[in-house]
Amino acid sequence: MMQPRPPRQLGLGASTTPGRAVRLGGLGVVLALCAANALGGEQGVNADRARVNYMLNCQGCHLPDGGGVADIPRMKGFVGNFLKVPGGREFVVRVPGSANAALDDAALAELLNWMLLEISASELPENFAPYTAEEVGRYRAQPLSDVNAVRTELVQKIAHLPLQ
Amino acid sequence: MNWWIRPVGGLDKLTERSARGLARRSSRRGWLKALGGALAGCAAMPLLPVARAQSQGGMTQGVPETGDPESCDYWRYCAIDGFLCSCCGGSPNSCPPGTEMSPITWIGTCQNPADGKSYVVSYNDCCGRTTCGQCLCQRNEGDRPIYRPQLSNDINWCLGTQSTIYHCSTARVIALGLE
Amino acid sequence: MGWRWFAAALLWAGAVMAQDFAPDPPNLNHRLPASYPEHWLVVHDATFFHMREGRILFVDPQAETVGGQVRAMLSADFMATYEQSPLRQEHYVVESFFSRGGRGGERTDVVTIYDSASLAVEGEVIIPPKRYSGMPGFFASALVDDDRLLVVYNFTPSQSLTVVDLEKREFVAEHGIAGCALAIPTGTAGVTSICSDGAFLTTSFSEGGAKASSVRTDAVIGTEDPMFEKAGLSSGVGYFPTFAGDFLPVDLSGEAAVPGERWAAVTEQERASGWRPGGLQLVAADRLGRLYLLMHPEGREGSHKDGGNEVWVFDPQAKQRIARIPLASWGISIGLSNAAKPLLVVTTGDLQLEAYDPDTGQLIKTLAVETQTSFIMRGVR
Repeated sequence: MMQPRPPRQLGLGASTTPGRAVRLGGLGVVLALCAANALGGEQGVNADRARVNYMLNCQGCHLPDGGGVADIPRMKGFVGNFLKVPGGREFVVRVPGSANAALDDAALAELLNWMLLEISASELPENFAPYTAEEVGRYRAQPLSDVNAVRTELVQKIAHLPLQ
Repeated sequence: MNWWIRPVGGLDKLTERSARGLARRSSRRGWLKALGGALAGCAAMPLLPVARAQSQGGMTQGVPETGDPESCDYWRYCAIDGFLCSCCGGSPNSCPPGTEMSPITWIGTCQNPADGKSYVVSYNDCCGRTTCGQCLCQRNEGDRPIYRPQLSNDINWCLGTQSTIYHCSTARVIALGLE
Repeated sequence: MGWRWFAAALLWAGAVMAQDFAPDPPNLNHRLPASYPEHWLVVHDATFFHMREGRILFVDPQAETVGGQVRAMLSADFMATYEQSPLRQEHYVVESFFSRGGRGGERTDVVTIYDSASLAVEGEVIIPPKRYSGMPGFFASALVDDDRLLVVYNFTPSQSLTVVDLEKREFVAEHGIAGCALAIPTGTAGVTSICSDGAFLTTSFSEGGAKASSVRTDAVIGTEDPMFEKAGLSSGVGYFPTFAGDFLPVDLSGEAAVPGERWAAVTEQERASGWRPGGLQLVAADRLGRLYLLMHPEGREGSHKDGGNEVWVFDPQAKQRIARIPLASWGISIGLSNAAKPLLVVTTGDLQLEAYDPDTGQLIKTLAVETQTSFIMRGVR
């Protein structure tokens, strides 16, 4: 379904040691995080906090690296693609795992921005703008009733994206 | 808070039983014994020396340890519901021989009395053997109803494994918690 | 053997034959009455130590001996879920079988259909091997549309509903309910699920089990005071207790769930002293519509499944407590018979079953029946 594409040169050197700051390589990522910091409001981006929130809210099913298993779709190396197609940016927030998470809008925005760069930086659009809390709040107020149908549609759109 | 050591009618006998360490054998009355072990331990059981805890194997590097991994009151088990893998041939962070650890699980936080810090704990089940039946524990700090599955210990988490048959539960420390 | 022995044996045989002797006939089976006595109980013993060997017992709590109390059993493998249909004169056990027993192998999920009088297996429906397995409760399956459809909650961990047509005895559909859990019978042909953001989602079915509609409420359950996923059903309303001691009424009688105003089951003083609901099946309703809630003092974070030493009785119309029943032994689950004069049955911390008169609060007896981990009790219908 997906055409393999050469990865962009963004490092994914996240530390897995408890209590240590996540090390991110690549200027793009750093800039993106800075942007998220600026746009995300008072909370900014705290990679440790984002990672622990990922553990507590997502990892149980999506696995530590977002690889997916059984009927849990793979996010690693893929989820960034959603942000390239119409409706996809909303979709990533509107899926129940995101929309229903017991996190406020700022914390959810921080988690998603961190996660996208951590597990799917290569698939993000060139002009990726981090989510803001306000934006996340708007999207999550419209939960999806049929996740699988919407996902299938978006994945088809992604498959038809022109190769870069 | 131990319900069975309160002066509730008819519980003297149970208190006596629960004070003995308990939860070491499977039996028809295992639930009670296990519950006794879980909660009586909080108040009454002396903490084992760190050396004993570490000799069990399965400890996590960089995490100071105290307590008995074969007892329900061990700090990592603050929201465990099921049979301790430590009593089934495994350890707090590894499965007994021949079983398969579930990749899908739920994750909570527990406070470590050795350093007062909270740690993120992943309660992966071990699967593919008949019910272990040893050291039944039920503790529920942070446990939530099953409509919040990522926080629920009522679920058989043998999912994404070859076999969905539940054998025992681990409590892997995967990160330092948020303060 | 000497000849004397042989002669003695002959004499004995002759004496027996001389009496008017009728040997026990083969193939005698008890049957249950077409309509069960209203005071009988259905006890789900999940056999937590042997999960593949669970059972459903039909128990007459008025009898004195084990033989009198145990009327019959059904198998209920691997943390099964159970439904009874007096309308169809059938029982349904939704269970899982494994081709290699304790180590697994191929898993087959089955709705086993029993005739309610003979308890013979009348049929079975194989469903996708996705059913939720975990601690048993009332809402992992539901009978709807005048018991024509059986709905089963799936968790793989993707969440969906399996629909079985009981007239045709076949699997008909699977409907996604991503982010939501359980199947609570609602209206004439719907089930309500509870969503992880605290909303209720009602899925309704058309004839044959296709999805007719899907209605979602606002999120009404907060994270600061979680609601148990267990309820007492009274006059079409499910009363869901919360960890801190409120009831959230949810009207399940219409086409979609309608949450109402929550009300306190504890006074401010009781709340301050830590009285909280707790237990496995901690709430029930009787035929008169009264609610029963298992309560413990000195509650704290994590005490919500500890059980309790009192059962509080409420009139949900008046939103008032009408009785406090101190238990002789610590309880971890409660259930009510459907008799005109109901019986309260409590699973104790010692895993005995104790029967109380809810009107007087008196302990009537400890049942003689031996079970392992009976967490779910209800009256026969």
